[in-house]
Amino acid sequence: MEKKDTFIIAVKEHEKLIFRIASFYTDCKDDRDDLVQEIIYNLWKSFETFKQRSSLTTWIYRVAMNVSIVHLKQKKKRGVSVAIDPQVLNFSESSYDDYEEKLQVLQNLIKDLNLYDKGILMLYLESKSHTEIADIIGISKSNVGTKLSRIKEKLRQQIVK
Amino acid sequence: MELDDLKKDWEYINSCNSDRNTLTPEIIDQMTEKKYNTEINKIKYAELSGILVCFTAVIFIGFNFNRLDTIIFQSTGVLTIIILAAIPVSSFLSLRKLNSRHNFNRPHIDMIQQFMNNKILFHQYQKTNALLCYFLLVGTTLLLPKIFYDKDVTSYKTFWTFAFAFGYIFLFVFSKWVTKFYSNSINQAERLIKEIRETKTSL
Repeated sequence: MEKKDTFIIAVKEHEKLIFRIASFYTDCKDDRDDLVQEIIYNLWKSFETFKQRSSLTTWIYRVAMNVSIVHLKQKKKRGVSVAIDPQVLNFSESSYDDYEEKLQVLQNLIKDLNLYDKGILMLYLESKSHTEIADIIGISKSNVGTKLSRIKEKLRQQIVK
Repeated sequence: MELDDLKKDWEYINSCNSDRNTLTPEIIDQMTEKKYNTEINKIKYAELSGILVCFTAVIFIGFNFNRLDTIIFQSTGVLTIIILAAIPVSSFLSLRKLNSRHNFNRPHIDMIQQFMNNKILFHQYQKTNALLCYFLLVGTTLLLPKIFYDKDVTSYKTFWTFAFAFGYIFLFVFSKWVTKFYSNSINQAERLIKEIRETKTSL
């Protein structure tokens, strides 16, 4: 099997994960699609250097999150995007509204968090264990626990405001 | 809202997407080939126009350098040329640093640290450029009447006083705005770098 085919299979398997990360880091559909494209492009560029020291999923999380923070800065400088067909989104109108509303609430809550906190929070929401979070972020397991408590406190203060 | 509530919302958001099957092998293939044929983006256009303006001014001063007949005018001419060359070079370097190829395989915390360092560096370049513009204003105010009319700045006192004052006020407001605009962002970046360093030393 060609390298490209292996890559395409890997991306297909992690498609939802990529969309979730893109949703977390962006606040509108256009940016989301653009970020998905950016992530896939950079996954492909980095695929050769994937050493399998970590699992494929961990590697995809890492690359996707790293691309996202750079993309946040550069999102205004868009290149040519490959459009994702809206027909395939499979939403009924009401569920789409609910989805957008919940996503908006989440975006408002996290918008003041710094990139470090955002990354940890996203992995926590993804139900990753402390060990997995530590591996993806590059910190110790005990630091993950400490950071999560602080994020919790920050979010609580934000709600009080 | 507790983290657990947020988690439930996140699960709900993701459940809405669970039937999504958006990426076909063809789209993935297209995405890996994509873009960078439009590498010159909006910012680069602005930077390129700036470079063009600066180098046109350098050529203009260079061609008329023989009109600068005193050591003061000649020194001002040389300094203005140096500043005109330094501004686009500085912009180019900062943009190159910002757009440099990233190693996305590295741990997320290292990426954030590098990203924040680049951000601070970029803002410092912008501040330096704003400062250089002050010197440029003085240089051009002295050189233009000499080059165009072979007169020094004292011959059109009123005009040049107003021109200089207006230019100075404009630059003052502009540099204040630049500083205000960037300082918040720089402070945030510095705080984050400090936090990351503390985390790393505790590893």
